[in-house]
Amino acid sequence: MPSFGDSALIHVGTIQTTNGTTETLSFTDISPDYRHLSFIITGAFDYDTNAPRLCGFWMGDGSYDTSASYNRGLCWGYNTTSARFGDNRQTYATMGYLPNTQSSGTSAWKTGFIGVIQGTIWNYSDSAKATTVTYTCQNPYENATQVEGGSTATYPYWVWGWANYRVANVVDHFQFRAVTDSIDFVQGTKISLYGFTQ
Amino acid sequence: MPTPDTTGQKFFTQTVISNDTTTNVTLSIGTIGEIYITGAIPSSDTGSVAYEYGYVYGRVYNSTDGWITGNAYNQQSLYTSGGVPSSFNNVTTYWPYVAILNSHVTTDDHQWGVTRLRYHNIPQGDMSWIVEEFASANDTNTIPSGYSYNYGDLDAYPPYGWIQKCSGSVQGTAQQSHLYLVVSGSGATNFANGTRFDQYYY
Repeated sequence: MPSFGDSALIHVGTIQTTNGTTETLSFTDISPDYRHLSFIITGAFDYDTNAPRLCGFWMGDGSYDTSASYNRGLCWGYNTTSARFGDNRQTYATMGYLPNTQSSGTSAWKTGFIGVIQGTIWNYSDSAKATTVTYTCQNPYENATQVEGGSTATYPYWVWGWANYRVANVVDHFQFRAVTDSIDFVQGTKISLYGFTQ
Repeated sequence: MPTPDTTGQKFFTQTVISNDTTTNVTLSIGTIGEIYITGAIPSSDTGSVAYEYGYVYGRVYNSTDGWITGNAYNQQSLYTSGGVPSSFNNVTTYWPYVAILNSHVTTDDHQWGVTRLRYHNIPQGDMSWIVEEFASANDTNTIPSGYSYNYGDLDAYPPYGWIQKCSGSVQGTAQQSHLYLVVSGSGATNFANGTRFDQYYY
């Protein structure tokens, strides 16, 4: 096994939901020992709709900053659709989508039905620089048998983008969840952080 | 089981620019590695500094070939300065453009362009790289002194200053030992103080 300080990526931490009622994935004591962090999120939401659900994050120094501190920019698409979006000084950062998987009241995780968000948290430990997050996101292709009511709608979303936490400080808090409503993750949804040694 | 020295990525070097006058850096490179570039051009830079980003071009060196020039480089890019990446180019030049710098012409000097450059540099002399980069638009509504337009204002301009993915390759006769990066384009000539190159080996 690699030893601390010798090789990276160093596993900083993993949170995996053990029930179907968790709405947030939160780190509250991230070590400042790394220059950047790599992350990967795999999961889904326990909710009955066929379109993927928009996700986002909050971060901060000592707490989650909910002030107008986030710049957001991304491009996204599915099938023949593509678009871009961006704005400034928002109260949270968007970061891709995860699929909604519940169907007709059951909360079983459909086989192979999982979204993936992967990216880098840049300069979170540098007090002179804003923290930048860059990411890519992929969602599975839905078919009629996996969608409530047998809908034929398909939303294999992809997203590529960044978000800036505009405040120049050392970030030790990071929280990921659906940006609207109180939506539970499907049990087993997971986020892992890895640090790059300095 | 992998041993500690062969597992994951291992920190190799960090290069930090400590002034506003540096125009280029030369980095030693390994066989497989990744360079995380946090960069900017200073507010004092000359030229068209109202651009919200600047380019960094690269070329490689080995002791057998020297600096590789001519059309030995090939790079394909997908990019945009605001919309969905739909612009595409394919260049064969000895100055492929490989990284982005944010402009610090406004008061937003806490914002930095970021580029992740992953390379494979095999002993026989062929090297390839994959780059992903983002420059942020500036986050204030301040019009820089001497300018009439607030470039990079997120409220009225693109969601990002620049977004690009590219991949490229270069052919040599021996393994490349150094990567030379130089600021050029959009009126930019210098790295900003604090620009940093963090390199990791696999």
